Amino acid sequence: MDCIYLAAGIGKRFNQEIPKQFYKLNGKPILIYALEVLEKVEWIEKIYVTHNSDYRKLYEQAFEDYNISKVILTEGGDTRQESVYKALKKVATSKVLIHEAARPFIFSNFLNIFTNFDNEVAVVPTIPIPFTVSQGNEYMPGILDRNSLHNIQLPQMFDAKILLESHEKAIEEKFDATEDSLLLFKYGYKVKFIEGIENNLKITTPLDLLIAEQFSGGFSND
Amino acid sequence: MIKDKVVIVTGASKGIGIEISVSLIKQGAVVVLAARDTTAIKNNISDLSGEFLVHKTDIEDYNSIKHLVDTVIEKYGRIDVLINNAGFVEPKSLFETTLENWNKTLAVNLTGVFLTTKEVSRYMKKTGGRIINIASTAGLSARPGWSAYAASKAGLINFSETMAEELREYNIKVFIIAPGRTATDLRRRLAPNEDPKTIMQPTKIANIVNFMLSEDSDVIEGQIVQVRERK
Repeated sequence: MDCIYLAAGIGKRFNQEIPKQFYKLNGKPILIYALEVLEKVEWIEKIYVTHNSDYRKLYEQAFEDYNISKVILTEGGDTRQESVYKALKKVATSKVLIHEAARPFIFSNFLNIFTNFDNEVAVVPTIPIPFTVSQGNEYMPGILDRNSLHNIQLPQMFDAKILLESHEKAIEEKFDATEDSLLLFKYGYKVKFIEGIENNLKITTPLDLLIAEQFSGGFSND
Repeated sequence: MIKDKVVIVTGASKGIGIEISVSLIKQGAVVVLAARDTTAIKNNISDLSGEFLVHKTDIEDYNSIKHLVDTVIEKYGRIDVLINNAGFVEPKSLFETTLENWNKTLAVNLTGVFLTTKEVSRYMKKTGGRIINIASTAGLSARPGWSAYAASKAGLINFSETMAEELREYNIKVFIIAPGRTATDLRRRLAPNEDPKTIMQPTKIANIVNFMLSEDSDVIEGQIVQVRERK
């Protein structure tokens, strides 16, 4: 199975001079953590890393330093959705795994769970939401049942052909989705939830980075 | 546990290095003996049966280290154990220590270990493995006239401790042996009046290495193991 690894972001919310994927956690660039795990998983064939060409040398140097060999750099788009679409056109396997550099703390046993769901079109890990959320602008329009809400994580696994078709439809309809499972759902496909992992932290803000720095000291990617 | 494992031993031509290498070959390991002087190695292992490879390696030369690692990966596909044993010492007082002496001591004893560890770990990180660094008790205490050597071994000890932490996530275990006086050719040159029978024999270090290659040793990973014999 091929993998798309989203690493083209410039980290607008991160307030650092370099994109957040190159920020170091215990001396190692954030983008390398999950790549090392993906590299070791035998059933992952190629890893298409969406990148920002302004920093191409940084990506190449990081891959060289950490001996990451399964990767193929592919130009990112203006949006996350466009980055996935551009990489998806290169995927040659029937299934595709999508992950993002901003989630460094995955491990191979967790990834192997995905192989139990080959018959599903979309497989998405989620964890419960431990706080109350609401819709609305100035006033609360209603109550959302927290127990029925999910915090959606990556990596996610998809039928590559169906995902590509869904992206093409979305381009035609100018539909923007914040992530791919929403896209498939919109076009009528079932999205299977599986149990995610709480440690699968997404690094978005400088505060997340502080938490990740504490966590990465004891992290093992085995 | 060590049978069929691919092991690189640097400084394998004599002393502790050849002792470790012979011991591992006899136990069925696939041993890569790396040294500048390969003639001496051939004399020591000509009667041995088992799988081994002799590689001419200059630990002061990064390209030579890369060539060693590339050769092993090409031939065996993996590296399970690295034993950083190559060492250099030419004891001098501060005023007699030349810059050349100082630089060579650090190049072999510290920089060489750093470069070899780095190149080997690029592959070992995918499979896990063990790294054993041969330091010295000189790295733990002051010894007048041995400043360059002591500094290099003290650096090696701290480097090793750091590697034990840093490489843990790849299931690479790092061990540190700090031998005291050992009956090697080098020691004989440095202390010609000392009776080699009165100090520790290299086989004792080889035995500690054997233990470090067993799972029972995991409890001493990353710690300085001082090996001294008092007779």
